[in-house]
Amino acid sequence: MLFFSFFKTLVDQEVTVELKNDIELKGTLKSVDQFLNLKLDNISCSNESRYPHLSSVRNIFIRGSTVRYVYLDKNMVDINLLQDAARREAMSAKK
Amino acid sequence: MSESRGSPAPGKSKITEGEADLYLDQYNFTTTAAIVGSVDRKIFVLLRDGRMLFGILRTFDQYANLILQHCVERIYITEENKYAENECGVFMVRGENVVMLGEVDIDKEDEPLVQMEQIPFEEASQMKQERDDARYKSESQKGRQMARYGLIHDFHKSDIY
Repeated sequence: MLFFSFFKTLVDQEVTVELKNDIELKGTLKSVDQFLNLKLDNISCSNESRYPHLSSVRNIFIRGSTVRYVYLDKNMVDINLLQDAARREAMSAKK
Repeated sequence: MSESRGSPAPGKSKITEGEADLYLDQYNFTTTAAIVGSVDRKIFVLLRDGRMLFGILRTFDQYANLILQHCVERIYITEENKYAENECGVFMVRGENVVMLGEVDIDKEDEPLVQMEQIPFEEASQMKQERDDARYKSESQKGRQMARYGLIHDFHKSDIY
């Protein structure tokens, strides 16, 4: 559940999602669930030529299994907090 | 409910299995919360086999199984600035086949299509088939080359979106 919690801290921030079909979508992360399905608002697409209608799309729901990368800004991540959470999760898994 | 959500009692840091199930049950509905706002609106859906559907979202569930009304399948042949459409009525889409879905602004939707030429659907679907075959060939070749170096190239024939 660590990644789920982590993504929840990123809600309302701007992220770029790269899908497995090489498409990059940039937008405000609106929600995330336990499958890491993502919902983005105000999207813009790096190569709109492949899907011309994306310019008329306001918000988008992306199935978690089709995501390759999520690009984050460096200062969006509190590394100490994340390390701490990772250790805590590892500890509780051991018990 | 409200007591179990408060600060844990001293010496009881871990939640019980029953409580965990309760939380998990709630999580199941976050997928729902994400698309509930698109019900009765026009959406597009990209499927794993590369098909693109436009239609009015009538209902869905936590797996993103969808029911689309007035469904239209559209193929873009962007290299040649062409597109094709095929009306297919009511569609039920199984959630595992969904890559992404989004609400379409019906005022702006047709803007890119104005500059494109509409061609018969059969013609376009044949062109798409050829394009997919070529892609399958190049991807599986890439897979073989990467396998030679002990690398995995994650590609499945059914995933041609």
